[in-house]
Amino acid sequence: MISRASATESEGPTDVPDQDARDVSEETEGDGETAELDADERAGTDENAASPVVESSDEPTHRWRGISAVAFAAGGAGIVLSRPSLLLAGAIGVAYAAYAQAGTVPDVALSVSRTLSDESPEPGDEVDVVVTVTNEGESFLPDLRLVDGVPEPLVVTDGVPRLGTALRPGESASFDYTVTMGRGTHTFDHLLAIARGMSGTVERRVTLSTSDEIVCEPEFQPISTMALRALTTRHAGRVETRDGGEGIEFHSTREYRPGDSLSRIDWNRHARTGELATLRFRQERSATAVLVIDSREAAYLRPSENAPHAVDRSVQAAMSVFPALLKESNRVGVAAFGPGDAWLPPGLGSDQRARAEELFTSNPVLSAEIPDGEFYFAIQAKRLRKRLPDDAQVILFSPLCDDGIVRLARLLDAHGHLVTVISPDPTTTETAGHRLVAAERIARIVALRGAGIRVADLPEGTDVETTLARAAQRWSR
Amino acid sequence: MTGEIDRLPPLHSGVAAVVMIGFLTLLAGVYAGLAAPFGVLSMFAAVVTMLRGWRRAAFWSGGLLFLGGIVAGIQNAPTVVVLLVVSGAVVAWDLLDNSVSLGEQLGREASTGRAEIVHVGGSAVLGLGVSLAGFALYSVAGGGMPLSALVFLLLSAVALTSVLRN
Repeated sequence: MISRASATESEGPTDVPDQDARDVSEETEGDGETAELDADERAGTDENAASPVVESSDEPTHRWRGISAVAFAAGGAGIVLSRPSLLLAGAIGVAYAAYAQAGTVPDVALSVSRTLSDESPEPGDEVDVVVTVTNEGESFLPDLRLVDGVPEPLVVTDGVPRLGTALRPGESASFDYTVTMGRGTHTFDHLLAIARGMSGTVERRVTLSTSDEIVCEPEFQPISTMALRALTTRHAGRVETRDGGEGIEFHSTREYRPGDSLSRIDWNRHARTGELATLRFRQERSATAVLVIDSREAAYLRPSENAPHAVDRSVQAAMSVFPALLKESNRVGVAAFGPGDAWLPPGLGSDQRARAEELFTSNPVLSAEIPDGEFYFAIQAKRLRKRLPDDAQVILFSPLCDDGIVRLARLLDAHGHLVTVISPDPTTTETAGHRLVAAERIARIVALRGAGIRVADLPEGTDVETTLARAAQRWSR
Repeated sequence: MTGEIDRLPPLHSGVAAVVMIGFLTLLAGVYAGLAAPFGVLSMFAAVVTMLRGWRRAAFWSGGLLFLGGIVAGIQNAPTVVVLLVVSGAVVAWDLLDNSVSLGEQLGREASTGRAEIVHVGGSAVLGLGVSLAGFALYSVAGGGMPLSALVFLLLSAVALTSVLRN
């Protein structure tokens, strides 16, 4: 018997969508034995280009259990009531029982090929996937069910990655679907084939290994400016400080001292009163900023299954902020706060830009899938704090959906690193539970603002540039 | 639309099963009135299976039509009608059960037409073949044949299948 597995309902903000293939494989309970086949061995014996088999198992479906009852019930009734027609009907039961017994599992040798419409798309692009499966074996496959192993972070937006068909030897079948790309390198590493004989008495589950890869590398999309806080280095830059000196924006005037530049003398005042005074402007300095991306499991949240999760949006926002800061000659670094280690010390120039690009696109810690590995808040927080230069301010990217990250923000703030939080909003208002989570998040934002930490809320579907420009206006008041 | 599977059986098999059960119910009803209610209930169970994907409903659909066939046999319906209804019951169950498993593994949205056609083709040809062969045998040789001979024939067939099983 195949037990009915309930489809998991998604409660947003939720993590990744459940994967088709994995779902199906959990569906059958049976006393079948699993045989691990060596992929090379299998590939070597096949003269055709059949895809290597990773795992194969046979499971009886027990679906014809009780068919003999038809024979006995009809035959018995026929004998008792002396009805030849019923006795003959019993023969039907016998025939089907024999049919069920004779059912064997066909030999499954399939080759799989995938065609991707675009192998290096941008995030958010739709890519058409065409899967063609060919029966390379000698036997007819009367009932073949194919489930494509769609990589977890990709979302199928059109079509179905599954097919039920029958294949004669040498025949092919294909199906196509469309996925929406997310950041990262995604491997279509398997295809699950479930083959049944004519009667379906036994089914063979074969996982075929494939190696189609799709690389989705986002590019820097710099915003025009990002308001930094007044924690600066000694070097000239674009962050306005509270100190007077050379600059553009008026700061104050002071008594003239010999050696002051002629261009800075307040000639209007001299004309009015005859005194010499020197204008002072707000000094512009560069800053050191470290972009900290919250990549803990608690940050992999999304409002709906089709939407990118908060870590993805954080990385996207960081990729907008990073070049903007670098362009204004600030020293910028990147760190991930989550399991694993990703750290780019603050630096300047195009080398730094290239290093950051590599970190954003290929570091597994910032991957689109929830990273494995242990995470200890205290250890990671301590490590991050040790790494931060004294004059570094922190721009923290986090959905702010738990209290841990609030603690980190306040901890960094208490250690003198001025903190700005940019928070992609993963909450929805669908159910009471969703609204509660959203309200808790708002409360965290209010608390952070109360503690003197700048927070820019980034609702879904809004532009990073617009949101930050609006926030900068509020901060400058 | 996402990666979520709806777990509902594809409709082709269900519609085919309902149509077939409807036809057999009419056929049985003409010769044995008491068989018709079983057929109608079986059709209802088939519709439920198709819409909800309940494996148990598929069992009831086949079982009720089978009972309809037995009743038709008791009411002295023509042999060929009884044979068709009984084999139709097995085919209907097979069709529905297969569609439920297709639904569980692939979902309703997936294209499964070819697998369904081949599957039903196999079991329907067997059912029809055995019915007609049985009927032909019966009408050619059955006239004077004692019932006990048939009983032994059947018992030997059952014995054969249990040997095959082992």
